[in-house]
Amino acid sequence: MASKPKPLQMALHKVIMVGSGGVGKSALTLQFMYDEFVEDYEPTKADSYRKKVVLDGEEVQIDILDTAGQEDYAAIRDNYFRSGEGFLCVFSITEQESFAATADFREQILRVKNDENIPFLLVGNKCDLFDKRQVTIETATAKAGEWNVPYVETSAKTRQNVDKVFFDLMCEIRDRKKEETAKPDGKKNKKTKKEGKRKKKCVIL
Amino acid sequence: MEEDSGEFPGLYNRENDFTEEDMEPDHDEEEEKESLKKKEKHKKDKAPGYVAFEEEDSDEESPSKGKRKGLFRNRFSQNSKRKFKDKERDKDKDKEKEKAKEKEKEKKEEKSHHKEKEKKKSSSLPRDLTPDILRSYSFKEKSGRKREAKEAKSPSQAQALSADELSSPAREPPQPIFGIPLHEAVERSKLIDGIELPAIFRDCLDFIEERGLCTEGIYRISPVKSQVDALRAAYDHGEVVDLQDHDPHTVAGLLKTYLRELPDPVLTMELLPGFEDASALAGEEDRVAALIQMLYQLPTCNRLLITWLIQHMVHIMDREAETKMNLQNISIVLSPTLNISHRVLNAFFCHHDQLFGDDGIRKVGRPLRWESSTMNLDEIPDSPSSIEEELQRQEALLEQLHSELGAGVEDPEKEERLWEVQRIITQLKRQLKRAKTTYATAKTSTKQKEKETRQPETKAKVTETKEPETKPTATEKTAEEKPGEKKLAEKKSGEKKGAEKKPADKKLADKKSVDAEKQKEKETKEEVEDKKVAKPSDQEVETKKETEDQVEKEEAAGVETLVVQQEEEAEGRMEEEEEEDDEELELLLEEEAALIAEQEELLALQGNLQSRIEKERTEIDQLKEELAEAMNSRETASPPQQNGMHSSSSSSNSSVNSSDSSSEDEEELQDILDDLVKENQELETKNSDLSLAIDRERQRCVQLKVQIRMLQKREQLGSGEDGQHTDSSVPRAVTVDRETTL
Repeated sequence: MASKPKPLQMALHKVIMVGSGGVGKSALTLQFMYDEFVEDYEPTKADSYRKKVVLDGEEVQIDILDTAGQEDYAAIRDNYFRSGEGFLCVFSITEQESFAATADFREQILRVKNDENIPFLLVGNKCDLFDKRQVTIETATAKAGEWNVPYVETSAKTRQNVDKVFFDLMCEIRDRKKEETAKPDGKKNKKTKKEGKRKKKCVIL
Repeated sequence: MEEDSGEFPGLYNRENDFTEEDMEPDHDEEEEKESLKKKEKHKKDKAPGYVAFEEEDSDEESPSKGKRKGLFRNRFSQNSKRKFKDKERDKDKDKEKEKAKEKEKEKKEEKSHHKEKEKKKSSSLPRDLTPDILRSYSFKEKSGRKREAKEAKSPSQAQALSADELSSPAREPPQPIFGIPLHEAVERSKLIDGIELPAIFRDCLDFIEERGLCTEGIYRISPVKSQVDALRAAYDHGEVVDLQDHDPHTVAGLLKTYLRELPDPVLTMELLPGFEDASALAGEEDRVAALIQMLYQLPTCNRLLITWLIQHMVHIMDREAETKMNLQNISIVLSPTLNISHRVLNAFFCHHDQLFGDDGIRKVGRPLRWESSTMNLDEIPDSPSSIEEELQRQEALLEQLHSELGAGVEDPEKEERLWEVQRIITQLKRQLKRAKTTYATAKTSTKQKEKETRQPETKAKVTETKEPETKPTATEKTAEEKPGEKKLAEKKSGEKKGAEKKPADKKLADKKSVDAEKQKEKETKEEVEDKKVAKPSDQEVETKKETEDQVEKEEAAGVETLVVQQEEEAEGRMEEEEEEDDEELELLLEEEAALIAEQEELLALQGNLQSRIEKERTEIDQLKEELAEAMNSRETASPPQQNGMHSSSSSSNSSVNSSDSSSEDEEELQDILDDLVKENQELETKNSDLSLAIDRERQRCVQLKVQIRMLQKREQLGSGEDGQHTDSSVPRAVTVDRETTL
């Protein structure tokens, strides 16, 4: 029988990058992983990375799944979403459409995860290109507030806030996991209640 | 398994089948079960229905129970088994054959004509599916447990399903492998290399070829049944099975179980009589010819399976001294498993060269795995071609996982695996990119160099590339006091260097390095054994390895420069970009030729070195004996002796020591001993330096030889350019010199 090794003692947090094509999901990931900024534009199908990091003095591992922005790969995406523990929803501040698309991604994630409290960050990338800005900080912040998630602007090119988004998300995931182990029963109830609310909201939107 | 679902072929025969065929096996099964399991007592009454299976559901809690049932089911009375097989056979064969079979069957089973027609329509489906089921069955490849449960509940469907599906509704195997027709198993679990054999067969064969060829009574000694069952369940659930931790007997048992449960024997019920007749022919030639002819009537997957299996068994018989399995023993064991008579089996084994000689067993190229969370990039292959190969494997795996997960079954294990596979793919892609870019840059840079220094000989270039590489070797060597594990790492790193340098010639280089590696591995093992005493031999082996790695690299480098040079000459001053393609082809051809030549040279060198290693080894043994003797004599002379045995010189020294007992003398002697140890160390380093120098010379020799060959080849090709003639004469003279120094 295939012997499945037990997951290592070290905590493992699973982060998924979502967002439209060309907003810089891979660029952010590669910057975080290898400190490199990739200029060449090559659409991602799906890529996955693992890295050891120190989160508040504790050594943990982060699994990053970099997904395709294109709808063509939506089918594969679902399989990953299910096992994702936190999401970085990326758009480009220089592209209005990519910002609009974040709502779809959010919805898709909530549908799969069935949990509105899932660790989630709204990320406005390419903030180094401020002269081409199409999405204002206010709009983005408002949207994030509506979803009750943080909004962070990043630049994969200058590395601004790159570590921050990943670490912030990991913190959320970790806290979430702690909560779950602390009160597994209460959590469930809460979740379902809130789900109801959320669903109504979505309809109105 | 494909969908003819529109036609509802099961409509008619449902009742028929049921009463005529399936009740019987069920009955038998029942009786057998009863002897062990009282709680399923009522099953027989309810068997035809929905209810029965629900009952069974509740009874079947542990997968092992299910398995057991499966086994029983496959031990039907011969009669019912035949029928079952006939049924399966229908599915397997194309329609022409079916007609003939139907006739037989009509006699046997007195089936209505109607039914047969219907069956034909559903050629590849279990024939008594109800329409409803049919539809769902067509999705089955991807179906989750829910769907399967639905299927199982419908009586006729369940009856028609293969033994496994029937036996364990509680844990529906999504894609059972056991008990399904061979070609279906092939479809479901064919490996990435496209060879039409099911994964389980390949896995088992691989394992036993690797680990079981020296096992006494392999295929004869019964395995631990629970282990076989567990493995079987894993295969039936489409898990990736790792046989490594298992006993060869378990794996052999698993393989036998699989073969035994094939619904149609490997040689097929239809062709079996033909095989019998063929093997009974008197003349040997006639017999072989007839058997070959019969074998070619088999479906591809069946032919492959019997071919590989016989070859495998021959390997076992070749090791009769260890396995104690001779032709007779193997026949006895295999005959019932394969449902092949002794006569046919004997004929197979006696003429295996003629019958099965051409298609060798190939090892499985298994997708890499990263079991632990710490990724080890060393495991990733280096050459673009092997990376691409690995990528293909991984992507097939990924696709499979996606389709399995896409079916909606939640399976954290699979999800975990999905991430893992994705991660490997990402790394492979990165590596591929890197390899490609480094190759591109390396190529252009050599060209530029070449342009600048057109006149200087390639010889100069060769030494240029060599020097930076021999340095790391020296450091490696000094760090190499403890052989074993380190060596493997070193090997890898060495190869990696090579790969980064010249990825293009990797196809050939790979082959070679595999050969070399196998051999090296053997040597490493041996080294570990006598590492204490055998320092000189260690170094010999080490240097050899290094030589191989380096020579490979350098050869490639040298050859490439040669090639480039030649091109440049031909090109004259023409634009490079225009002839990029031609150039590349030419370059590759040249490279290939060069590598072949190089390989030959290296093999010669390898043989040479190996014989020397042998010599060294015998010498070591002798020295060991001497040492032991010396120690013995010393011990008997002076029991309270305490000096360590650093070398044979120290032992002789300590025997002097033993005659004196005053502490002063002891100190003095200790000093002498220290001096001797130091001296020994110095000699050792000198030795390693010298062997290093020998290596270098040897490398140069090989290199020059290859150059000579290349030049000769070019001459033969009719390029009457004078410059090359003079070129070739120079290195030849040098080579002779080098060889004499060796």
